[in-house]
Amino acid sequence: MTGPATAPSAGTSDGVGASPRRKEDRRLLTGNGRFVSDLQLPRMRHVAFLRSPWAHARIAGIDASALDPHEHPVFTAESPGFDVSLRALSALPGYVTTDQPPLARGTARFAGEAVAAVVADDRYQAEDALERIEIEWEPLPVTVRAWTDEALAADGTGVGRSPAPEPVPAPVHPEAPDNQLLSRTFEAGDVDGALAGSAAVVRRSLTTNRHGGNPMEGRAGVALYTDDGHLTFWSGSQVPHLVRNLLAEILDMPESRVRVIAPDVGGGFGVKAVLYPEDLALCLMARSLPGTPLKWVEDRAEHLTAACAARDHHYELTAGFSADGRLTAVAADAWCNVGAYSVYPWTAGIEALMAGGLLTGPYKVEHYRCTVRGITTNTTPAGPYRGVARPATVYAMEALLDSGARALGLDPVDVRRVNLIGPDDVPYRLPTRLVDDTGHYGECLEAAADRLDLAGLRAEQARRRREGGRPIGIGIACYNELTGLGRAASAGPRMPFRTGHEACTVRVNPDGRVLVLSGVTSQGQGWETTAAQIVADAMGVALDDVEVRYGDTDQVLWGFGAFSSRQAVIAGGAAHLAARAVREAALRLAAELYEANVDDLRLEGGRVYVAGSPEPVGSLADVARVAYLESNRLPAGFEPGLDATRFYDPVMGAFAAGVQLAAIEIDPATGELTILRWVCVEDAGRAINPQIVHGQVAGSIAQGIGGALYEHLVYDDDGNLRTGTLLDYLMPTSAEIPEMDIGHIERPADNPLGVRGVGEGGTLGPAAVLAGAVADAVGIDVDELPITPDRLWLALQAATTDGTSR
Amino acid sequence: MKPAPFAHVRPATVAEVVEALAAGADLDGGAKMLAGGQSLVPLLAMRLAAPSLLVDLNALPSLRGVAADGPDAVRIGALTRHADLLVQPYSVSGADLVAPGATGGALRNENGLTGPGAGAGDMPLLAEAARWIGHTAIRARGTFGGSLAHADPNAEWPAVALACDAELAVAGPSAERTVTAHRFFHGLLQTDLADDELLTSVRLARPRAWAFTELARRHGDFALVLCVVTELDAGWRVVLGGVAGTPVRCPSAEALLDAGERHPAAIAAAVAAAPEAEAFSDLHASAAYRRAMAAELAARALRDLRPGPGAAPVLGTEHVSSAALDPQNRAVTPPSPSASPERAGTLAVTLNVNGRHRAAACEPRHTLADVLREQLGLTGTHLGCEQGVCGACTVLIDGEPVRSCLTFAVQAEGAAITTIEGLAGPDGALHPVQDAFSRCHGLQCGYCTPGFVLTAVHLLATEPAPTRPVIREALSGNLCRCTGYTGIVDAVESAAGSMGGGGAG
Repeated sequence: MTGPATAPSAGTSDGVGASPRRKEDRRLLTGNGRFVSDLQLPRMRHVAFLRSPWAHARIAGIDASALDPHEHPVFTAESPGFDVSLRALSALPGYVTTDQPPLARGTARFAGEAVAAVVADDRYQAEDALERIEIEWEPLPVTVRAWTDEALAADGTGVGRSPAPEPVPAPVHPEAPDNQLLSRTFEAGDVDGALAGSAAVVRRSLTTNRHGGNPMEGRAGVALYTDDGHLTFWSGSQVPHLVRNLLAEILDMPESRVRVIAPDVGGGFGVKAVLYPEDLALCLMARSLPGTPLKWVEDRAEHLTAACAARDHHYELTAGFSADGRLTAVAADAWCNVGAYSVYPWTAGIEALMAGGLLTGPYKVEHYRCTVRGITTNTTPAGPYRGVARPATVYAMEALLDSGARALGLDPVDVRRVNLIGPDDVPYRLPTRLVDDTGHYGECLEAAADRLDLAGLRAEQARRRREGGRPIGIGIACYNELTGLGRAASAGPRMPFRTGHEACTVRVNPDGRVLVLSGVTSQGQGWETTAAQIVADAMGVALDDVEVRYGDTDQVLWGFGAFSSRQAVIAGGAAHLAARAVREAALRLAAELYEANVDDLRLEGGRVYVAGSPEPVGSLADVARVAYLESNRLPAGFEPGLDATRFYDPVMGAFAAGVQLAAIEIDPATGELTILRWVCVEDAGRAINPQIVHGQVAGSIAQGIGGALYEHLVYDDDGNLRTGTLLDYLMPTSAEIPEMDIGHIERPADNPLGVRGVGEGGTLGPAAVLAGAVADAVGIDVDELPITPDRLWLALQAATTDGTSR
Repeated sequence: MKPAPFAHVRPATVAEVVEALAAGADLDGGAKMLAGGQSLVPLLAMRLAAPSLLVDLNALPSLRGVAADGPDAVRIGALTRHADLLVQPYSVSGADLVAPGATGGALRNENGLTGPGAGAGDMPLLAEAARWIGHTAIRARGTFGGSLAHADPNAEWPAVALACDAELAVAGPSAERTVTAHRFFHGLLQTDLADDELLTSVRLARPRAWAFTELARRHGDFALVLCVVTELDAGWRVVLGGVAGTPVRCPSAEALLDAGERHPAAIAAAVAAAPEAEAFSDLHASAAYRRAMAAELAARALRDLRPGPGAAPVLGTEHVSSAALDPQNRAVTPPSPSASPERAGTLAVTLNVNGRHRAAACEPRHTLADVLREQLGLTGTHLGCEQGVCGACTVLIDGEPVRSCLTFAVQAEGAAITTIEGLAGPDGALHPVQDAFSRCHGLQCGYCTPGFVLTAVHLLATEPAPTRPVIREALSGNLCRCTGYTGIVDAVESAAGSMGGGGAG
């Protein structure tokens, strides 16, 4: 599986391996993007949702009598057709299935949950109308945290044996009296024995901060139901085919009458890979108002309170080490706050199971036990967000390694070196049975250390410690990004579908130009360009002659969509296979037309060449014209037309290796942290478009830094979100994000294009890097995120007072 | 997040404002004054404020400007934009502000250049404080007087006013009155202004020495804590912002300074022990942290004390108002909004967008962003937060970047509006900045891109060859969630190069 350091370059200047300008750029740069919120249709009306001001309350009555029902139709859970629910299903033993209604039914379970919806001629008037709806509330006791102090102190906690939670007085769902929707224990080897025989055993107790994707475009939808029984739903969705499938099922409609269109989408990051109750409500409302397109555009206040968030976790961790720093065992208990509902269709298990499944990261661990729990609370549902759980688990694992290195008096980089999965170890079976196919972590680490000038920084650190000056620290994160999951490792917890495959159709039009219909979608990843590069290369045509379409379920056969860093691996594989198939068909036909041996023909730049002759004998356009328009010239046995559809499933998936290192400086007087240098080296396999790969890594690191230092969705004890505006929910700007030094080693993976996914990896490192760097600089363990000046300063004060600072 | 309905009136004189306020007081929701709108409009959008009448002050040009007011003071019109105070010598004359017979006067001569004696009224403290306020688009619209009247204790101007013994001129139904800063701030967002009064101008004593220090979570955020130290003829002032409901003075620290103590640690100790530094806790910082930072900032201020004007070489460089540099490099006449009578319901509005006059029918509450998008079909202007934070809706108004979610369409009449659709050449050729964004992968999903591109166009018009840190600071009023900013900074740097490092295309 190990290949050359640089993948073989493609034959063309804009094929695989090149960075041509993106096809999507021009329209986006000139204001001609096609976002859902831009859509205007005849007779269109606008929807606003009335949202619960209470985190947990019974709905005693809703009075909309002040509104004229013809002018302002109002919908509630009692409206006809609204007796359906989203039910995220999993075959995981002990999983508790719960209902999520399109509009709160009887009880509101989080502040911000949609309770009623109103229709008006514009959004202003819709919001005016909301003020005239009265709701009578009966508040209930509220649960905000997913773990209790008792649970953290209980016997067995920290070694993967925390006791199950007790029933609570006012459970979020009656089906789960203890608020636990799922629990699973991962176990391999003999943890207790290994810990007992360890030279050092370290424990850490870590809390990560709830934050979310916050794409710059909120969610948006336009639903139109025509009276001939067809539903069209324009949605800023990452998963239009899943949405079609789920809507058809819930609305009891034929799938052929449901069309979902995801046009340009202003960022997704996982948040838009969910079918939301608002989506369902909008479609139900449209069915009640045939012929009237209904538009809802989520505003930022709604996004912060009602779109999926993530990373609200607590970890109790134990690790054993041998005297030379090798991990002997890892044990953990983890609690994941899943919020008020089991997110559809990924379930409440999405974060907890990922946390338990990949906690050990790229490190060799034989003895492992981890109990994870998904606990429902009266907060916004948690769902998929770039990196799913691993920004937290990488933080946890690196904290254990830093503590182990310190306990043993070893260099923290050396401790990584002896534990990383290496090229000789692959395929390496993780203790959770996932198979790591890379092993280039060490190479990434050494390259990153060189680029950072680790030795120089250590010398400067020592000098400052000796001579005074602001302390500097170096943080380390090594991670394995599980990408392009095939059927054997498919995303999500035993749901009634497997997301291992994608379809792609490649069609040569009669003019010889190529149309690609791809099942995955794009929310900024540049798929329109990279898919075209793949197909142009595989076909032997110019990039300009390839047109890519995606996101419309009526155009594209099937696709699960964009999530889990799967576009390049799975959809790229499908595009490549379909393009090769069409190329072969075209050349077979060309062989007949030009009376040549098919093995002597090749397609290049859209022209057909015979071996040994520098001049083309014809063109793809000539061949395509015959295929479509001149059946009289078609040889016997040839069907008209020139296209192919292929599915691809990598079965396992491809791990992408990544290492981030950073140097920071702390101002002890203010607790301010300044990033001095940031280095990332990734093995994302063969880069289809290096500039886009670079952009994915840089963007994901920035989100990781945001989560580590700034972003925090804070709830008070009553379940009110206290960070409901962008003045309080702080996303990093260009002034906070540092310059980044990003390096790539390209080790081709075992799939048709040799690619690995790259969308999420960057988010995995920053929390670990920054927490580790703080500990390295000032000897304070960071046990809670985000790292704020206030918290850091308070910790420094406490350490000075106690003399505990190392 | 759309404002509730209100009527809009744009008086041309202070007397008309007072009259409108008095009339509005009888309405259900009362009346509110609209100055820069950077704090008020988000409150309207969230419906935390729902006045029946908005009295728009932006047709009172006589309230915008800066002038020397005697040898030791400056007078600043209430409608002076933050950006006006950023670059000295001042480019906005406040001659009208100073009573006839007073010494001083306009700080610039007619051709906009610094003339003999001009700059005598400069006050570098103001430029330093303005630098900390928000971002370019916020500073282009937000006003000095609006900030004082809003009275956010974490804002810069209230603390500066207190540190400069400000005297605030207030117009109302009876004779104009003057109130000192000390008495003006009553509490969190509470001032001495009655419902029917407006702030017209503010007289600030010019410090002989000064320092301004601030801590904020991100660049441009409201301060966690800030400290202003000034030496006035009347003595030293040590003022803290962000610790209490109003900016507060620290008399014990001031007394030490008056007695000749200059040691930073001594001043910090006095601040740390001062009852006035009794701080509050909120989401972003604890009370203990705030108090400690007040002391730390006071110490830093002492180490950073700078002389007042005259001694420091802050003058002599020719600065041109950024308003005079729009991307097309055309000569621009400053916006001269005219008075309008009270208007409510649906109005016929004409907007000059990308060089064309476009008619729209809108209510006073309709934001410029919504009218551009919904009525004029210019959907390249995007809404990302409707709170004035994300910058996705940035357009250029008379060459200045402005948040179109915080500007009502009725306010934009008569101004030249440039949206992303107006940037490419008539032949479809991309503007050099657009081209560089594509070349350098400065966009991914493209949603924030129009705001970034227009902000960058303005930056390169005012600063043709910015360094990367300058680019990062200038763009920090715009949020991008995809790129990590790397490609965007690359693009702006590259565009500066391709534009020859001078003059916008």
